[in-house]
Amino acid sequence: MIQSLHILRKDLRHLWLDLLLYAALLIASSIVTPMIWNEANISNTPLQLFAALLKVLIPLMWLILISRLIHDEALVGDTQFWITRPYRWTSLLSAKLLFLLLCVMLPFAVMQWALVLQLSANPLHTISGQLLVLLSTTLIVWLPFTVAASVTSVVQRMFLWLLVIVIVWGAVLTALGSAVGPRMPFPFAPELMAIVIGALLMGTLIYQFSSRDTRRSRIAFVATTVLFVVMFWSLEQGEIPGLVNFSVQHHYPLSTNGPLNLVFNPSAVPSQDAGTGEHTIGKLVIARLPITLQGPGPITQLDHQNVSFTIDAPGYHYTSPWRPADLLDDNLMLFLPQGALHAAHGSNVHMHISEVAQRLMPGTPQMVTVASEFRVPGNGSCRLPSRLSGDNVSCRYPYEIKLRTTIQGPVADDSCSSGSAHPGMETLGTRFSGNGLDPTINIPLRLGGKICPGTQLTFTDYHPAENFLLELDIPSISLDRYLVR
Amino acid sequence: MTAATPAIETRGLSKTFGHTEALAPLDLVIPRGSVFALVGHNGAGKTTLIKLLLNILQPTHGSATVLGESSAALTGESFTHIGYVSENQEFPEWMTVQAMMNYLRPFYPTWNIGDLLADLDLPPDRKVKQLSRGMRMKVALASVLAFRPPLIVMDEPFSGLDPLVRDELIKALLDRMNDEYEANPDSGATILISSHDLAEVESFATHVAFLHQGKLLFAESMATLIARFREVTVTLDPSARSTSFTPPTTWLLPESTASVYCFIHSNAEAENVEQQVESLLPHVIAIQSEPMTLRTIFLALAKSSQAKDWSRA
Repeated sequence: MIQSLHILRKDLRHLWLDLLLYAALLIASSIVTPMIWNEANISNTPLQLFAALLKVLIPLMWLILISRLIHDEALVGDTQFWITRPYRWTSLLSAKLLFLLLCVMLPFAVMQWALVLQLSANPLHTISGQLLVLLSTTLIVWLPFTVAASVTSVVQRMFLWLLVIVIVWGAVLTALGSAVGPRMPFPFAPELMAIVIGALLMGTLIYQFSSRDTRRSRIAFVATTVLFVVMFWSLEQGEIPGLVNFSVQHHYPLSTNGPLNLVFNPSAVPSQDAGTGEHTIGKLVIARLPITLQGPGPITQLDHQNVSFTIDAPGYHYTSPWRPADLLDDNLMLFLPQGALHAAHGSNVHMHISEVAQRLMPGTPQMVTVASEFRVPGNGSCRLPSRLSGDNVSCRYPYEIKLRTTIQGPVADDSCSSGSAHPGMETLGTRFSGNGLDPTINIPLRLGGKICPGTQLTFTDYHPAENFLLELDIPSISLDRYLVR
Repeated sequence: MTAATPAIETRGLSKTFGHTEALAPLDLVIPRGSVFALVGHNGAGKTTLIKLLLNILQPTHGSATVLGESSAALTGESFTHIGYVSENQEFPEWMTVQAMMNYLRPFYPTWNIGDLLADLDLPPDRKVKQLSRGMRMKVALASVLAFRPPLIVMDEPFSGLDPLVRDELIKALLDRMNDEYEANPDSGATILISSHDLAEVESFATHVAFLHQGKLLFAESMATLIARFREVTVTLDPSARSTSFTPPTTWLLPESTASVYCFIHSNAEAENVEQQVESLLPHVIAIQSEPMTLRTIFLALAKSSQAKDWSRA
């Protein structure tokens, strides 16, 4: 530990100028970001351009800082001064990780805290979101940067490595994601990926520090990035049916005698107008079937809805993978394979539909009075339109919206002075701010009209209640009738 | 480790890069307290051997012990008693000389820089990147001498240095040897020094090993070596009829004219040169046997080795 602190002290002395520059960028970000919150609907102001520049400069600073930190005792090569000195690899690694923690991660966290405070939100209520941001940034940015630095000797090579990896990721994901439509993700995909990829990256780093076997460490790093792409594709895109089926069986019990039922109404034909949207995705065709969910009651909401179905026609059988599917007011939207339509030749087919979902139950409604600036449940902060920010009330939440929330209240048809109003409603889904520098989520409220000062808005959040699986058998259905055109 | 244990010992140590054999299987013993010069041309395998000994490279075959410890098991901790100075070493350029010494001090329990910086005429406040090549070598040597290691390994330390700096470095090194010997006569410091310039090591080396194209041609004490090699010139009676004979294997690079026969005797200490010459070469008028410098021995062996290679080819 003493040797770690000794090396850390040396790194601090060496990189003080870099750290000063990093601190200046973070301070600038914490000042500029709140200023552009009010300019959300205006683009390309000088301030926004500066904020955009900061979004490039800060990651670039991470790259330079991590490169200089690791390359100060480069692990690649055999002429470095330190390799014939009494360094313990454990001390060296812990010194570098301590530096990352104190000088890269902590200042970043403090900058985000400053932004949360400027939102008038309570930072203590955002700990989980903040930890999530730090963890994901560590896994996606800081740890890969550190491993890349450990298998290279100069910043140019490190940059090249990262560039190649990002290009390969992009190419593979674009190629894979182009033609198969959305899939149901494995429920614990992010957690599983974080554990596996984090462990592999950390393992590679430890191996390289302990052995300085650069060739094997590079292979391990490349293998980890390939595994990341494969896992992302397999888990996030539901490409391993066995895993998804396993999760369906274990997390969504079959609801047979419960209050919920899927009902097929053959006499109704939902609107099949695609509007400006797509009506095909690759070899899939979108159809809207007149299927409704009966029984949940108006106060219940559903989340994580996914559907799988089978189609049987003479000489043809098709089982779809699990895909996200929204059960709308009067229809269920599905992706049908073109092969099924050709096999049916316009005649009726047998269809079996399985739907999984999570039922949400409402919490206690909370009333909020609209003012020029006002706090809302979920640690959010809203403000009335200013000259610059457009027509809607805009709300900001730090890090995440944990629960689905319904907002209801009277809204003006035209202007607040006209006096005519009607009931308005909007639902906000759960969200995460991601790994950007700004940890806030901006949401313009659109309740179907103009929200006026003094209006009472009712916020109702919805908590997960139960998961369920519903089955519906349709002995005979003409698919052609329900295609979106 | 006892005083009798060699400072360094290798057994069949070899290194191959791809299809290139950088070091052929090598058996070598470096006695404790010696100044062991490892000589050879550039690319002879000296640096590879040193890097294998210090676990900077891993051997393809064989093993080595350094101060009684397997070279493959050397860790950072081992370098509290092994000092390494190399012409190719990368230093923390941004540090001043004094800051570098201050930084290194906590790593070594035996650190005592004393007046070493002043003795070597090093500017404490100058950054390493602003130093000349000679000054850098002095910094490297100071940072090694300061912790008084029982083994100092130096890879081409004097390469490209002006004679004044070279003499200063050698003096500092020998002073260190003397101090160590006075403090502990049974087990003085060992120095392994590689060089392609024989003149610079001849004056102070006690032992010498000669590497040529990755192969060890010999390794022995300097005194034995100098005694063993003789440049022999035989004056023959030109009127006498010449007879053909096969020279002994200890005669290297034989050359002859009608009246003179020259060769390098590689075992003059053990064999009676005059008797041997007279028995093989009739009509000898005079025999002249001159001692050789390390440089001439080195050249003779290199040429001899080359000639053997060519004849084999």
